[in-house]
Order: sequence, then structure tokens, then C-alpha cells
Amino acid sequence: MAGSLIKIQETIVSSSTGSVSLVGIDSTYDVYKVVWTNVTIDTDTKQLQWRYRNSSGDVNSSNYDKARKILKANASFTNSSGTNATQFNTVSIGTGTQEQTNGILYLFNFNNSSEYSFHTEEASSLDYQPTLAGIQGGGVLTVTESHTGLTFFVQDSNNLESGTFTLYGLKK
Amino acid sequence: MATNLQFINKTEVTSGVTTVNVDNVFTDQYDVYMVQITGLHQNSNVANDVEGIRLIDNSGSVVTGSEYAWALLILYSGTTFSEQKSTSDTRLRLGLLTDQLSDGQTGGTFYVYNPNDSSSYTFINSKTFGMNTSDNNAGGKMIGVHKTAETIRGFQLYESNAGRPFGGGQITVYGVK
Repeated sequence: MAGSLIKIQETIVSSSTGSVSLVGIDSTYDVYKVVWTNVTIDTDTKQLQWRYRNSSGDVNSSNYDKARKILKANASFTNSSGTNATQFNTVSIGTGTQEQTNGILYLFNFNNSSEYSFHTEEASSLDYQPTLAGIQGGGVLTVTESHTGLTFFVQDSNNLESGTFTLYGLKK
Repeated sequence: MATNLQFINKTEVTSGVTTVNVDNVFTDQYDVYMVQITGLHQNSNVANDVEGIRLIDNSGSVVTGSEYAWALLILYSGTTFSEQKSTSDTRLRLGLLTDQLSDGQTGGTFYVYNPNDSSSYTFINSKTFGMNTSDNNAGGKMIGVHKTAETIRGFQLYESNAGRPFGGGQITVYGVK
């Protein structure tokens, strides 16, 4: 296991920023990994969201499908599923003390132009209430094209305030 | 080629104990850590799940107060999935269902976020598998948080029931650079 994770890009947000793009996915690796830590936003009750990127930029089409379980420390768990959305998302967080999100994606088939691109996700967040909430599940962009990265942003054109976003490749 | 998953520590779980401290593994070198538990089992036929983990603060003390919140989905192979949760607990439950080695074992991976940041809560998520004669096969998906902003330098594998000591296993810690 050790020695198999290769850092490709790290972006640290230290002031208000509209989006963070992680790029550099190509044929070098079959599976890529994204880690975000200590991510905060500037507006209450909004989601950290993301889209895949192709050679032209962010993919804005309505082809994002997801199936996840939302785990909550204070309430029954819920299913979070849907088809033909325009982005993926975490749970809603806010601006209160310690409200933040941390998570990991594994990316599959991103460099394969003849298959869909998939990801699995696991996130642990202090949401807007603030209560521990997180996601276990996955998503797919139902377009047969290759993808070069992802862009993270905040729901409704709000801003990221802090956090670290890192893209890794898993050595073949 | 330089790599970014870096081995820090491997701890053998000795038979007969109910706590195992993995201390001085979280430092200012990494923001995120990956911990792998392999081959964890009990030393007698008790077929139950391990209580969980507790964190070790910067003074070396195990955090035993009600400072943890967690949510765990247990995926049973033979029955309905189970939702377990707490907003105020004395440990983080991972869903490590295990047994004596002849009947089962458990393992999994959990990630720790921001343990060395004294101004941030420490967050965790995990995925585990396990087998015992009571539950057959089961997997766990968990999220957790330590709700005190302080520096965390390690963790303790924890079982409160003296009648369910560990039989063996390994715990390996990596830094994600």
C-alpha cells in the first residue's frame, strides 16, 4: 500500500474563492483520488458541489446521477439519489464554529473516452445545524467521454473560504 | 518516484488486552491519515463488535469524556441493515464485528482529518468488514467527529467489556501527504 499514492495537485484556499479546479488526469493512472479537508464556505446552509471537467472545461450538462446514504448523528439516515442533475454535492454546511466538510473521492474511468466516468465518495461534515452528517455512496456522469479533472464550488455561486483540495494518482 | 502515502507505524494487538494505544502518530507532517486494521479478533468465543476507538490528546491522555458524535450504517449479509448513532458518546464506534479467530475476524480502513490542528475538530470516516457466528458477514460505513478543538496525537483501540479481550491483529498508520 505504501508508495502507491502520487500527488498531482494541491490547492489551498486561504481567502474567499469562487471555485477550485483539480486537473492533470490522463492515462498515467487508472484510478485517481481526491481529498478535501477543513473546507469552509461564506454562506449559511449551502453545499460544497463539484463537476467533472473535460478538455473544454467544466461539464455543465444534466447528466450527473448519484446514489448515496446520508448518515446523521442526530436523526434517521436518509437516501440521497437522483438522475440528470447538473452537479454532485455534499450535505449543506454553514458558517458557524467548526462547520466544515472533509471527504474523499475515488475516480474511475476518467481517461476512458468510451465509458462513463464514476466516483465513490465518503465525507464527514459538521453541517449547518451544527450536527455531524456525512455521505457514503457514489456517482456517475452518463456521458461517454474522457475527463481531465474536477471543479469544486459552492451552491448558488457562493464562495469557498478555506480548505485544502488534493488530487492523487494510484500507481498501477 | 516520490510517493505520498507514507508509512508511520505498525502496532501488533496482543492477546488478552482490551485497549491498545497507538500514540504519537499524528504530527504536523500531515493533515490526513489513513489507518488500516487487519485481522482483529477476540481471544474467546464471544462473537461481538469491538467498542471502537478513542482519541489521545496532546498530553498523552485518552479522551474519555462524552466528546464524540458518530453515525454508523451496519450492512448485514443476513438481515436488515442497521442504523446506529450518537451525538454524545465516550467513543467512536466503527462497526468492527468480530469473534475468536476460528469463527471470524474484522478489519477496515479509517481516515482521520485535521488531528494536529488545535483550532479544529477532528473528523473521521471509516469502512469496515467483519465476520462472527452471531451476525455472519457484516460491513460498516461510519462517520465521526471529536467535538473539541484541540491537538490529537494518537488513538486507542477500545473495548469496555473485560470479558471480550482482543486475541490479535494489526493496526497500521499512514500519512497522506
